[in-house]
Amino acid sequence: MLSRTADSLFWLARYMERAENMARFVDMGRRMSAMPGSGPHCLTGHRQEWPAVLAATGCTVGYNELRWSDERYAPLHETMATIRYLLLEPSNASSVQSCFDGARFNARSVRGALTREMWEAVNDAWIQFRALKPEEVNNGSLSPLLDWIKTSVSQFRGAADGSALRNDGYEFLRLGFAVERLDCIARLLDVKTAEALIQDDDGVSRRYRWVALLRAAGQLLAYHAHYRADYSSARIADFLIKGSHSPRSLLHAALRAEEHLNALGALYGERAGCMDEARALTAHLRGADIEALLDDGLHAFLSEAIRLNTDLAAAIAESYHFGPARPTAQAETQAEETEEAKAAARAAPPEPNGHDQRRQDHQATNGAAQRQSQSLDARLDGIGAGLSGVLSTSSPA
Amino acid sequence: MFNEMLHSGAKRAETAAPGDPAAVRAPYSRVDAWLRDEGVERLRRKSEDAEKLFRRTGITFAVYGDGGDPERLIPFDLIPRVLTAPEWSRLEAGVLQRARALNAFLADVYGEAEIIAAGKIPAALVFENEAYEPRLRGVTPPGGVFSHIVGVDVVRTGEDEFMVLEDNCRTPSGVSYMLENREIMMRLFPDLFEQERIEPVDGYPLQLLNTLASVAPPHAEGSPNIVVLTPGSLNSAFYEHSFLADQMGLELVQGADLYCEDGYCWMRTTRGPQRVDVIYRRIDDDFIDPQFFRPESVLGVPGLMDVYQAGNVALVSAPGAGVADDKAVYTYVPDMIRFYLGEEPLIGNVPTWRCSEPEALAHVLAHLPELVVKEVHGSGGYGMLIGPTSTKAEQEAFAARLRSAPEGYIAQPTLALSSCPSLVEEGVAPRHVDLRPFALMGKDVAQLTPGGLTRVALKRGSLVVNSSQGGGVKDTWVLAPGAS
Repeated sequence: MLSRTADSLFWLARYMERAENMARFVDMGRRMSAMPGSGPHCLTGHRQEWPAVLAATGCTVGYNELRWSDERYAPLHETMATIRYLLLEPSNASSVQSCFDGARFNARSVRGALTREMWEAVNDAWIQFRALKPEEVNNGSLSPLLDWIKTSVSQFRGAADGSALRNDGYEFLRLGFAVERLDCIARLLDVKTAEALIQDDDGVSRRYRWVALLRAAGQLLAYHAHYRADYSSARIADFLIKGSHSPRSLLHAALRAEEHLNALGALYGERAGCMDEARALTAHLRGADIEALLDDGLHAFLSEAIRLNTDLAAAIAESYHFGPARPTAQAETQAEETEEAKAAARAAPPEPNGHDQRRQDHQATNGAAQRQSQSLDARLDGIGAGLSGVLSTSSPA
Repeated sequence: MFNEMLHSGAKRAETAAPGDPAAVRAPYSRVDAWLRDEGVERLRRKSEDAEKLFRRTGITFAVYGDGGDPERLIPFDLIPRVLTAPEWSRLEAGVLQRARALNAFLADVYGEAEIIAAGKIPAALVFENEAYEPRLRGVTPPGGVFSHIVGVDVVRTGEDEFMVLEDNCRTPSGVSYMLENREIMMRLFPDLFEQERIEPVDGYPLQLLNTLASVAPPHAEGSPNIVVLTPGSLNSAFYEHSFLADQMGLELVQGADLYCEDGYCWMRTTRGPQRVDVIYRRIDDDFIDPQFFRPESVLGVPGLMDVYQAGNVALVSAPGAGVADDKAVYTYVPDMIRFYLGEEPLIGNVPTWRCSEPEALAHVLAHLPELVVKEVHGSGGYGMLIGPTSTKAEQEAFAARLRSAPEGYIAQPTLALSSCPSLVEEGVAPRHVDLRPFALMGKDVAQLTPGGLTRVALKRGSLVVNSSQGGGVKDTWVLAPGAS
């Protein structure tokens, strides 16, 4: 298949998976911030969990830029401002809105490689989410909205499962899901690390937050079924890191990536170089010593997992010739094969601003490896910044 | 004005409601009964359903630069346009005749140029034409075909009379609407299709595929690799590019997916390079090869024209084919038909004044309020004057442009477009329509799918059917022989 098609399918899946996980991040932030606070930094009576969520998703810098200077954000309560930024903000490349934009952009450009069901699942999600007005997001509507996002992504995943031809395109799609899920779950776990640095926990709330994490990962009942009701931090961490039978554990995602690379190798009759990166990632996760991580090594462990995963994504792009930079959106509008549109363009010269967002999406989509490393840096920087945010709000004069 | 649905001869046709059975032409009798059964309210609801289906499927076209929704729907009018079998067979013969003559003309002007030597068409009009590519003189495209898909815009001017408004020889767009409009009508009104015997249009993609395969270079015999080349997903007609590639089971490629090496064109795949033999390109000449045409183009494939000139890749349509659909060249198409085919044109041109001729210019200047004046090189309904609806000031401004550069304009009478009942704000009312059938010209075969794109000017009184200026589309029915 065309390398660009493989690239687009990979990123289509990544964006859809990311959209779902952003909903999970918001869900977790909301659950944690609803806990009654205790300790000196909880002056407002509820905990400051949102900076940790912003940090883990790499959104701290972008959010802080808008928070007090943008009239859409300034009047909002902290919780609502954060939620709006994570779900709807078009300038946030990881917001659910941007994810659906990116997914749909990629889906549209490889429309022929998708079944009608798959296309409609992406397109419907995009159409409906785009119609959502910011003021419609409030405490009452948030839960159903987050559920709807998760359902929409499930619908796409199900459509792919139930209708896609099992060919190389399918494997690239599944690879995208696996790589992105690993990235997101690692970051979700990292919220836990960030917030654990606030040294005020009594055992009860500490455990509560581990449970919130399970809930956010959609794995509470799965955990119950496996371990009954024993909420030990070690077991929960083990479940989410090395529980290969949990579809939302890091190891599970890494094993799926390996599996899809194996399937591609079988299809093409050739083992791809990126298999090495996949193996390194699996080995790192298998080698986790959970007890030691819970002491103080979790953040470093997760950062390394995220880095290895990023290397894997770059190696996939290289092995399958995802190739040179694509023309930008603006360049695309350069040629209009219908005279009609050309004349229209003459009559009304394109407004550069109208395409900025699209161009960003396009570049974001296509400079895959480059983009990924950029966003990783941004996200890691964000973690530091977010933490200092937490600490500074926690020590008022 | 001829009404597609009403008998134009009946005096009351102009005034009667479109539901009046006494005035309805036979091919529309079932449509008329259906319209009265459904009622305007139900039609409106169905129309909303249709719009949702279009959005859901993603059948949109992009509009740049005006700040509105960047992805629009072309308004779809539910009321079909109906043609009888005898009408269609006349049209078919006329359109194919024209498409043959246009291809013969292209082969001639990129070869010996006999038609110019014979004095049938001025040399300057061809050789100094912007769309003519002198560097390609002497290059015969694979299979000998220059324009493989010819869209001929036709209007009805009387009960038995059709005229050609313009030709489109460089990969005309709109055929996806022919196919999807039918699909949506069949979904919304399955009963109608049980009652009427309507010729199917869904054979088009396979016919197109066969046409493309027929012009593959000799080295690719047996299993040519055919691709559809698009500028990308932000292009206004991207849906169509994607749809057609999908329907034919071909790869939809962008310029960056292709490169030229060792005399051939290749595409980048997950398993390494694969040779490309036929490119159905939906990119203008100007952009296909920055080494040959516009150097700043990033959409094309450097070196592609070398591969083409060596005969190792077929480009559909051939670069330079645009000279045949120029509006000034248009006026000579009847002469081409006589010259190359030795036949009389089966469908005539709309009477046209070439403003480059002093007598014609004088006539046009004296009759501006009655005429449509068009730029020779423009299209899409821009840069034109519609006499009857224009103001005195607009006419004066246009007269000045005409006097200063008369060779840039042609003029035609305004009688051109017939009308067809359409669902508009005030209910069901007549609106002007044209028709674009798509002729497929392969190596040894010429075909025309029974149907086409009917465009409708949804603004009352408007003659401009272009989608960029408030035009919509309709499903086009060709009734099977023997059906009434």
